Amino acid sequence: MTALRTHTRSMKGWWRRHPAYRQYLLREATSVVIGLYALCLLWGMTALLLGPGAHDVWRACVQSLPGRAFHLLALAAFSWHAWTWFRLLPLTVAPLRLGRYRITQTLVHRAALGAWALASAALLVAAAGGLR
Amino acid sequence: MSDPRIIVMECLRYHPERDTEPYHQRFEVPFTPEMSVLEGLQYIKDHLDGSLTFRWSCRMAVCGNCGCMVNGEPVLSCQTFLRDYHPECVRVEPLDHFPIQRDLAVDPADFLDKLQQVAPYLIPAQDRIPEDGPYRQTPEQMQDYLDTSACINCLLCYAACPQYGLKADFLGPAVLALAHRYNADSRDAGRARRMEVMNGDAGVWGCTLVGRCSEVCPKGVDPAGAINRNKPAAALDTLRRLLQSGRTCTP
Repeated sequence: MTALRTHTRSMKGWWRRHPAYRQYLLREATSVVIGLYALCLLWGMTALLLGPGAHDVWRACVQSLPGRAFHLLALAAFSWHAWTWFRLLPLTVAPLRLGRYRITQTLVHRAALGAWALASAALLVAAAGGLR
Repeated sequence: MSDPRIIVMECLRYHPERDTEPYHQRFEVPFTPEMSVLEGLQYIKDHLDGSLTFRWSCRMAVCGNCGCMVNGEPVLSCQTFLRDYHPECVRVEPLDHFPIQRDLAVDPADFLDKLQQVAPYLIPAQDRIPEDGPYRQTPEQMQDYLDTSACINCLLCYAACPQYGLKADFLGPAVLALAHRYNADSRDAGRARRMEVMNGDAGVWGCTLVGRCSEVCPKGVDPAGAINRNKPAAALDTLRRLLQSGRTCTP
């Protein structure tokens, strides 16, 4: 028997087919900004090791207008990545039980958001203390 | 019954013996509020063009045969209603990411081949005979797999998964969800056999958590969750195999 001829459609421009695909790509793209921010921090730590001169250069760079713009971009990328990731977090954990009570996906999502808020607040308080 | 109104249904047509490329054909279909997209297609076949090809069977969202793309969304055409689209046009196309056999009918052979690979059935630890009596399972144990057991193999999740479209060897949402369904069943002992497939290049690691598969499932199955909950197990399985191979390689 001869095989039936079929038509396979192209995947070209697949991300244009649904808003969810564009949101997914945006979530993945924020990882690039987060990676760049990690490199920026690494640069700062290396500068700290090299001495006051190198550290002053790094500080001047991060306090410049492009440096501040980059930090705002990184904040937006972190926030979007965290928000979208925590929305998906319940999909990655096995069903949890407390005795006979089954912990819902909504509760896992809210607990993760709460932990994120607490950690961010603690970091802000610590940073404010350090600035004083 | 209310008077029928007219809706334009635009169907993708492709007859392999005649067409080199698919094209869209418009039909004006009279419809009543209770008519589904499937019934619209049946009207076209009965009254306008008998050569229109599409699959269907139960008409009640149980068989999973009538899946298609309606205005770009993967849906079961039997539970999608024309009234929700009127007065706009309804564009009906075959499920994305599958080869088109003819008009709205796709070739599901790739899915069926992959489904066999994960042994989607109970593999008991020991052979049983009827005299052994029924399996015993608590309601809590049943809850571990009940949601994934609702899968009807309708393939909507494959049409929603860009990773399946981009990476042809990826096992895909329904196959991995069904593998999870049997792994999570307390009566089953086939986890090691399935893990080899699930942990392979085409297995759980091919999922990048787009998440659309779970959104489009007409039975409320959560394939994205089933796949991603197996990633830690797959990582542990790799570690176990590495340790075992290290042990056997040591002279």
